[in-house]
Amino acid sequence: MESLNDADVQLARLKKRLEREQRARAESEAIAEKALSELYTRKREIELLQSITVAANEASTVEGAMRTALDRVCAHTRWPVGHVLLKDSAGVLISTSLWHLDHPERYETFLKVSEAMTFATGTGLPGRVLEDRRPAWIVDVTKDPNFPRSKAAQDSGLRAGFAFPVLVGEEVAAVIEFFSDEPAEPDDAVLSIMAHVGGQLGRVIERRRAEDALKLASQHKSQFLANMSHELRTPLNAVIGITEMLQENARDLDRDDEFEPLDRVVRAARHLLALINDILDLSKIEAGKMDLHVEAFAIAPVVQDVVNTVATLAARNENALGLECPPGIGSMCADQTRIRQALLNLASNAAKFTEKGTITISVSRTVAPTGDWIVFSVADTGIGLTAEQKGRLFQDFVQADASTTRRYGGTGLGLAISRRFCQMMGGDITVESEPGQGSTFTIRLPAEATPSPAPVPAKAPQPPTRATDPHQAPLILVIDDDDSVRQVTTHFLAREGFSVTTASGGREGLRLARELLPAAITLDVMMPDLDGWTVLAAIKGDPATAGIPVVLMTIVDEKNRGYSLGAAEYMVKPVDWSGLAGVLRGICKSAGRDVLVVDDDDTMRAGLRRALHEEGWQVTEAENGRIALAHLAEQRPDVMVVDLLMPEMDGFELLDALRSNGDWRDIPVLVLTAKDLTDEDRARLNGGIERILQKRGRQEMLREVLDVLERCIERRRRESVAVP
Amino acid sequence: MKGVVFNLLEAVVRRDYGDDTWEALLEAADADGAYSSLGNYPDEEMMKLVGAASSALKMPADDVVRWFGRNALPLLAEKHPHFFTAHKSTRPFLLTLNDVIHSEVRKLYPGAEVPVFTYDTSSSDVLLMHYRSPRKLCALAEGFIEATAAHYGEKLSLDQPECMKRGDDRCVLRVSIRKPKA
Repeated sequence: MESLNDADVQLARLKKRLEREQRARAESEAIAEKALSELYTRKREIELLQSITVAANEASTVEGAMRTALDRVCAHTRWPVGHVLLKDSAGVLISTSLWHLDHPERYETFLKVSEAMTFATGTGLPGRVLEDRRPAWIVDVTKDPNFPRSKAAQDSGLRAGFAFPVLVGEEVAAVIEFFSDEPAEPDDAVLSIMAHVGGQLGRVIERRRAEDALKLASQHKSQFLANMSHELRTPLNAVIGITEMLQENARDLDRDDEFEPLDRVVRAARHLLALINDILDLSKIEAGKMDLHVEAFAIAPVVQDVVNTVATLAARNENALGLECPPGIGSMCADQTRIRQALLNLASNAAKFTEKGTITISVSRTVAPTGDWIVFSVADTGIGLTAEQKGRLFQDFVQADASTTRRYGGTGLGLAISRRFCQMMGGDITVESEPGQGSTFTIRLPAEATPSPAPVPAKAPQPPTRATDPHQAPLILVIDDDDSVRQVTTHFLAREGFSVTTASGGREGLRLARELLPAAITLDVMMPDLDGWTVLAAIKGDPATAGIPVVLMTIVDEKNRGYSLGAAEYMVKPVDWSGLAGVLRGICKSAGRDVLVVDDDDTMRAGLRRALHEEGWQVTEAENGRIALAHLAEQRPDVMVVDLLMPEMDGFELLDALRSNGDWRDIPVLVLTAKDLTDEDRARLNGGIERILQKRGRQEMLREVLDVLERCIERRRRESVAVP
Repeated sequence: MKGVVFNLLEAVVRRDYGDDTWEALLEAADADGAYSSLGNYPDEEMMKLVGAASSALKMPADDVVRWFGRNALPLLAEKHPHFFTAHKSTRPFLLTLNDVIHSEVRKLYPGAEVPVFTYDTSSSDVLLMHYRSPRKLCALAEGFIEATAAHYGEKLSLDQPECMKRGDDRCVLRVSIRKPKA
């Protein structure tokens, strides 16, 4: 009995213990399950944050990051509706069309009502978030007094809502709101995670703003550089132009002691101009404003031209210069000017950095299934480059060695610019080099360069040359706001046999163009009152002036735009005067070979007229000095043939009159006389006389006259080619 | 207090005094008795159990606690041997209490309130461990330290020049290891 009782007691204890153990186990399981569930929630939250962080870092647009956040948050909460509102400049939240909608048709009403609304601070769910700058939760939007869209929400079956701010610093840049089909109590974990999401998205906006600011700053910098270069180049062009004028006077007056220093001024100014051009080129490439002029051209002449140009420089350091160009190299389609520029840069570098060595320029064609490649290489046996120097070589503004500038000159921009051009044409420049052994620079370009974004439009068809009196010097209207440019252009064009009128601004230019109907117009682009583009458009838009050929003369290299607006030619300052004269002469065909024959002897005049006409000269005749001056006042001839002894006004007086007039002083004069000149006569004629010919045997004399005039014109042309 | 401590107490009482004693203690302390190692239970319940044991075993409460520590430690060493095998003697093990042992306890038993010891290691022979806790379980620490020395086969003398139970604002556990004779 006793033992049975004991057994019972023991059993009861065991049962009790078992019951306790079961409870402890259940409790453990509950704790473990709760922990696991929390762990799972944390894991999902971390995944959500991670995916949004990744999206935020990788998204190329703020919109893209927002879109990802909408989708991920809806997936995380299993809520069907998400929507982005952006704050506008007035500080009001504006609905965007960025939505996440599980069933777009079902929530259509709510979408329409939402998108038609804006939310001021404190208004509705987004307004509350805007005010408090932290997430907000509404258990049931249909019962919330501050939810203007409650009717639409009810119609679309939406109940609970929460929203969080996208914070950039302390500022709410946007609000993202979410809605569920069921009322729901606030979930602190969700709200706290959403604060993080908002922070992440805020950083995307912040980054975008910083990038925009940077881009703008970079554009401002490029614009500043472009303007600055213009400001620098304008006076520099004046310096070059006026010095060239002085140089010419010095030459004409045989003042060699003045000529040489002036020559140095011109060369220094041109060097300075080249540096400024480099900086401008680079800033234009950076600003994405550099045009390529892609055209088909034969390769061999370009390479040969580079070799010719660099020959003197190579010889200076006693270098042998070789060219390897296979006869069948053919042609390619690219920007010829830029290739020439790049090759010239490489070749002149090679010549600079090599002494008593060999420089070899070679070109070859590589045939590939995707299209041919043209490979140019410039190999030298010069000082070479270290690995570190090679690394820095193509960086903007960096030279292999800072001391290089002092020793060898240059901006250090040439290579960077050349490389950018080659890259724009779909190729590149590479270098192989051993210090002390030499360097080989290689340009690889597709034979058919990808056309530049703005392909060169065909040149506007040359308007028919306006009827001009062949005996009148063609009138050129020079429109430029720069006084010195007008002066220099007038000087050179006048010398080339044009008559010139100038206008100091776009408006005046337009007026003169209509009044004078000049044979051609040279037009500056950057002018304060009315820019060249506008003037060009106006000239081409007026039927009265549309036929006048316009030559754009400017610092701004935008040929495509010029041609597309109808310009006949486009010249970049500093202007190549003979080039301009050639262009204008082409436009006004009879220009440049006007001769004024002044002689009282009819027979002599007739003989000269016939001979000169046969050689393509336009001949004007005058019986004496007075009549000649009258002709001169109307039209400036390119050359004059003057007899000395004439009635009314003799040759001596005429020549004195010519010399005293700035516009006529430069006209080459061939004195043709039967007079036996005394020393006094010669002294009086000294200066400004091309040649004195004694009248004698007719044929011989005529041939000599023609020769002199021809040489005279030819020399003037050659001289007008700017001294490099 | 974490359920695991109750589990340890139950294990050593059952082992050394039998199942009935544990049942009797639970009844005497009016304790629930269902302890999950992961759960949290009131400190008072532990104190009541200690008080009941003190009466039943006719032993001062601190001695009960010290006995509990001395006997619980081998169970812990069995369950988590890597904490012990990482060291070869008592002193370096004791110095890892805050940074290793108790930080692991917090990982296994989230919310565990473990004491933070400060050490005075100015003497290479005597280690002073400063203990401050509202639970005033310095006796448990003593038991654990003695058992640790036993685990490493070291003899030590342990006393408390300062003790919160004697009105000091902290307890100082003075641990002197007697070097085993060579």
